[in-house]
Amino acid sequence: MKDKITDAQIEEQLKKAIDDSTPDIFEELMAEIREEQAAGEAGQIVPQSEEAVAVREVVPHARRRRRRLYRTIAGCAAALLIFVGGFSMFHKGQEEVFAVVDIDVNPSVELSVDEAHKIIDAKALNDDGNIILDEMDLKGVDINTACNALAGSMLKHGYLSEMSNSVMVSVQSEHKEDGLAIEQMVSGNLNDYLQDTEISGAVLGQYVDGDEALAAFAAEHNISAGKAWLIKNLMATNSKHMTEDALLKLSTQELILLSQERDVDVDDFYGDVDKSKYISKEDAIKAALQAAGLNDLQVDSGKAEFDCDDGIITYEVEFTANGQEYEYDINAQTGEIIKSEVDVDDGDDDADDAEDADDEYDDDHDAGDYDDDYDDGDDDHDDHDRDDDDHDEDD
Amino acid sequence: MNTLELDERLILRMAQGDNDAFHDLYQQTSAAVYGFALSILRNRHDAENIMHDTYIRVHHSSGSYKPKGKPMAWILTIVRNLCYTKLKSGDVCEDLSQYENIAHPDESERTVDHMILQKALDILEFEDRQIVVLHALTGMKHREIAELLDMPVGTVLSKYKRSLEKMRKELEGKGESHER
Repeated sequence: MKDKITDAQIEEQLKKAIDDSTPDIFEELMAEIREEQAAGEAGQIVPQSEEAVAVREVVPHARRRRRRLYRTIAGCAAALLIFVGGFSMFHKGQEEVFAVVDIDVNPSVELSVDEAHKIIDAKALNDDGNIILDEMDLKGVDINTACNALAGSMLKHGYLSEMSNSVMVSVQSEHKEDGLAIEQMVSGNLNDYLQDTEISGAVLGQYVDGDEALAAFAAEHNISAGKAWLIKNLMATNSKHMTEDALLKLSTQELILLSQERDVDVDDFYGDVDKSKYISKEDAIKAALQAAGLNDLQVDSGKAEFDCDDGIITYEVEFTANGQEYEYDINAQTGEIIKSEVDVDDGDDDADDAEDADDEYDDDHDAGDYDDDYDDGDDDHDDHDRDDDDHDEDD
Repeated sequence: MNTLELDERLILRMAQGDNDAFHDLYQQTSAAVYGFALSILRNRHDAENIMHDTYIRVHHSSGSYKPKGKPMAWILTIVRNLCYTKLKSGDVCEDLSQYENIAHPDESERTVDHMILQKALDILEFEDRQIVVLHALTGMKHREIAELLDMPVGTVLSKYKRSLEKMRKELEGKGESHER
């Protein structure tokens, strides 16, 4: 009979097996690190700065993507031709804009890329975008590398944080399929990048068709095509508050939040928009009930949805009770009641006469002191602690 | 079993741009990093990718590393997070046949060892594999493994014991498939 194999022997053999089969990738790692360091220096990104780190940080993702690409190609012989074709195009038409990738957080940056996905031009679309781009020259850099560098810088500058964790990636291209593929690649990569940071980001990816009206709207308001697309699609939802003016005042994160809430159909979405600065829907409904002097037993049905009102995110709370329809707009951050309507529930959804009721709703209900705030919304709104405006002070 | 005592100063030197320190750190940890990733993903190709990403991450983050006396746990946490992200994304090869490439059947002296690795990956449960590999490769204490895997120490201990017993039975030819 054999001797009993000891735990130590088993572990020793296991260790030896793994030691033997561990690939040696050190040289490969060093080559990539040196290459990225060189790219960082060429790009005038100070080595060892966080931007440089951000640029180099990309390597794993870029590599992952490459390997995924190889795998896909292996499954399709014809793809090899396209792949090779892509390379020859890269040498021929290096300066030709193949796609435009907009990155919106609050800084908005527009990246023009060639067919090989290298940056031809990087342009800030707002002041915050200038702050971010000021420190780097992205020309010739791979789009994923550039996006991660931008995200890294936005993290450092506080534009991206746990509470402000949303990014919109929008891609325009004459070649729709390629544009979609770039959008998927960039938003997927950016999501990977953000998931590995201390914030758990939310990424909305959208291919935007080159529509002249949309381009004009974006140019007029100095916003990215992606943001313009989001605003147009939100306007098409049935909220009466989501007007062009109201939506233009919102941050990217707020627009993304609303697009999620209102089921705007987007190409890709990863993660969750941070909502920690808002009160819960339940609390919003509670606040509305309290204002109406009702308890939840008296209410037939009720719902709360994110909405907006003149630059702030609100809850639109609706419920019926005692044969009356109530509608409250509540500041989603403070719980303050901004507007209220009450109407007889005649089963008629037409809101024609609802507005008349607007001013009538008053003392009948023990609604606390919300009257004081009523109608002076604008003054208050500026005081709300909105993150977007505070960043200039950082650094 | 020697505890893998990684010198924390290597990471601090890396932050100063010392590539020799990076090389030393790589030499001392690569098997543990690769083995741990392999124990989670059970796929050579994915494990190698994770290994690559881990070292890039370690290299980039060396500047922000805060010495807490647990450099190995820090590195292995990165491995674990990357693996879990990969599992969550669904972008993993669950095809075990790929793993067979690990064994080099032509090199006969290695086959016993490689068989044991194959068996560990084949017969042990998800968490059990990680515990056994971490214990064998890093010499980490059960308490440290419990901390890394976010599990009660008692669970780690019992899983470890059960796994080793399972492995022993398998190696002695008394595994479930041989019992009859």
